[in-house]
Amino acid sequence: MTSEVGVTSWAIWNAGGVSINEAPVSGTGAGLGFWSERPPSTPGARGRSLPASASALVQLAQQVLAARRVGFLPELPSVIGVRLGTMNGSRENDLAFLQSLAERGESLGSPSLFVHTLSTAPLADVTLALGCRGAISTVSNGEASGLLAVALGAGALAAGRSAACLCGAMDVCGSESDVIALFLLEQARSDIAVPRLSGWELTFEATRPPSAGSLRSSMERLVLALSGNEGGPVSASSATGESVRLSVVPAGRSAGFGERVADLERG
Amino acid sequence: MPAVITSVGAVTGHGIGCAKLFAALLRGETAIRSVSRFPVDGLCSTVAAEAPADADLEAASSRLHRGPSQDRATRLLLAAAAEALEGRELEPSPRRGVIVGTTKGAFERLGRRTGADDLLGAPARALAAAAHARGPTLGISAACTSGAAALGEGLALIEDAVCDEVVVGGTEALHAFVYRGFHTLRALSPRPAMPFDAARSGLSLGEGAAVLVIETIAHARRHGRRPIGVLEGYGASSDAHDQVAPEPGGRGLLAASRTALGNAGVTANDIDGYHAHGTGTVQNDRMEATVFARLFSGRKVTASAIKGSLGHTLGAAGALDALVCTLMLRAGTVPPVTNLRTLDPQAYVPAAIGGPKPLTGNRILVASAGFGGVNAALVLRAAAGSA
Repeated sequence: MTSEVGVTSWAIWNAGGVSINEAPVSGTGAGLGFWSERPPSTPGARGRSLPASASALVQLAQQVLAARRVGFLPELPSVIGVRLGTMNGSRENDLAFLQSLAERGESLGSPSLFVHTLSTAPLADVTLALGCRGAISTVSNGEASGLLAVALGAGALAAGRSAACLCGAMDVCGSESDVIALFLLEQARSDIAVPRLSGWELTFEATRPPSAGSLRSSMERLVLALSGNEGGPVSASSATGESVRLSVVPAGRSAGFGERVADLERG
Repeated sequence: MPAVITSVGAVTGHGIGCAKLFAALLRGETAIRSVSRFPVDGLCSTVAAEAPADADLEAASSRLHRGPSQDRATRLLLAAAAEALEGRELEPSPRRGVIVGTTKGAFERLGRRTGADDLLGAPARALAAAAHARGPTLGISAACTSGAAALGEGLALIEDAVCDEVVVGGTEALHAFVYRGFHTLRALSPRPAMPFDAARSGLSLGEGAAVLVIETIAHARRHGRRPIGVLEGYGASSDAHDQVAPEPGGRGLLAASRTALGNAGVTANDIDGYHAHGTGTVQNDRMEATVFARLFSGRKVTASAIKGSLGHTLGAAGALDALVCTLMLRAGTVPPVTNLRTLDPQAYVPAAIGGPKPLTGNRILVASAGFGGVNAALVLRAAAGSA
């Protein structure tokens, strides 16, 4: 990275409920359907209803953009990308579409459900609902997928290939490990106090022990690092040996390049 | 910073290997035939471009890895990789990355148990193991632009000095699941796809894989590798218009194309060929014709497209498009658009009809578009000394 990247707002939806920036949202509990006062989402294209996970992602994206730190930049860039890590991809919708073929006949599947058998379909729903015109993609690298998406997003911003990006993870399969996490990344400005990502590293260790954490826990650790006063490295590893480490600088503190490297090396 | 392409490998409906693929394209042949791998009774189409059988794929990749692969997308990918990596010394290296674009990955391993298998990342992991890559390894999915996105992300890893070389792939197996899904969308043509033809009636599906090794010019020189092409730029965008249909004015693809040109440090005036996404649907072809007209403003730029020959290979398509364009730049020849006989006047692009055309110039813009309104574009240039 050639510069720091600001994290101007974030949100996470996990088994514990919903949190936006540092604050838990009241009325939320386990599962995607338990946000009792959740804001209405934009309907799917041509008025189709969205699968629950896609609807949840759209709603969380709306909240992250609304919770952006006022004054960080004069205006949010109009071209916002969406890049999310996933292990399960569209598994839930794949199974639902297979079920619909079995029940209705091999030639009578639901077209709108089929469209959501792409892992990027919920991300496209975000672009449709919010008018984002940046690139969208999902990336998959085992348990490290979420941090990988954030690291690649940070790298694109730092190199000037992107102006703003919603990065994070979407991994939903109806289990305790379900998570949707979004981090709004923008170019950092020295005069605005927001947490920053100051370094990222992708490595491979063939002999490393089995994965120490889930995709969900890596997102929770990143939220903690952004919300607290300590910052420091946040890392995740896949079961096959790939590791991602991010260096988080808390709001109000800046890190020089040497400090970033040392931070990563201390890891 | 551009990356040089130093080797390529392909598996398509025309068989295993780039030579078979390019020869078939030059002859205007289609690999789209009756589907043999699963029943298609009662569906709106019965044709697709099927790649060789699993046993042939395993045999082709046997020198690259041990043991059978667990899914067809990985088998396709490794067979293509065996060609691309042939003759290379593959000492384990943290500076070698692997990125593979796919939309369904190892789909046949989908089970009902909770807990993830990371099906989208499985082909990339298998390729990384075979290529002894110790750098970043990931699967990337961006609908039908996945293969192009993999190349764009690979270029970024080289631009950011994270890697010296990246083995980039795109792979997609033909599944009954996907075939039936496209049937429900009424997107399949009953006969082989006819991109840009007035008589077109939809797309045909295909399967395949492409692998391109990209690296810094310095790294290639150190290892005595001669570039066969140059990846100069990448851009991507979203239409924010519809989940299925492209924005008719092509605003998103235009934005992606301009970003790619800017990334490459060139303008549309420097482009000599336009390689279309070219699915053979009315919406796509007319959108692309609009983009073409707006980008090139009447300039003579030769258009090409391969989905009438290979079918739409979804997550592999962008990588296969880039691979074919690399071969076109090397040969100085543009294959005809297979099955194109009479250009749709409302989707006019100056495509080669009936036979190959010489490629005048050395730079091609490669377009991709997909569900969700995703768009991607690549800029490729001929390597010095190409035809």
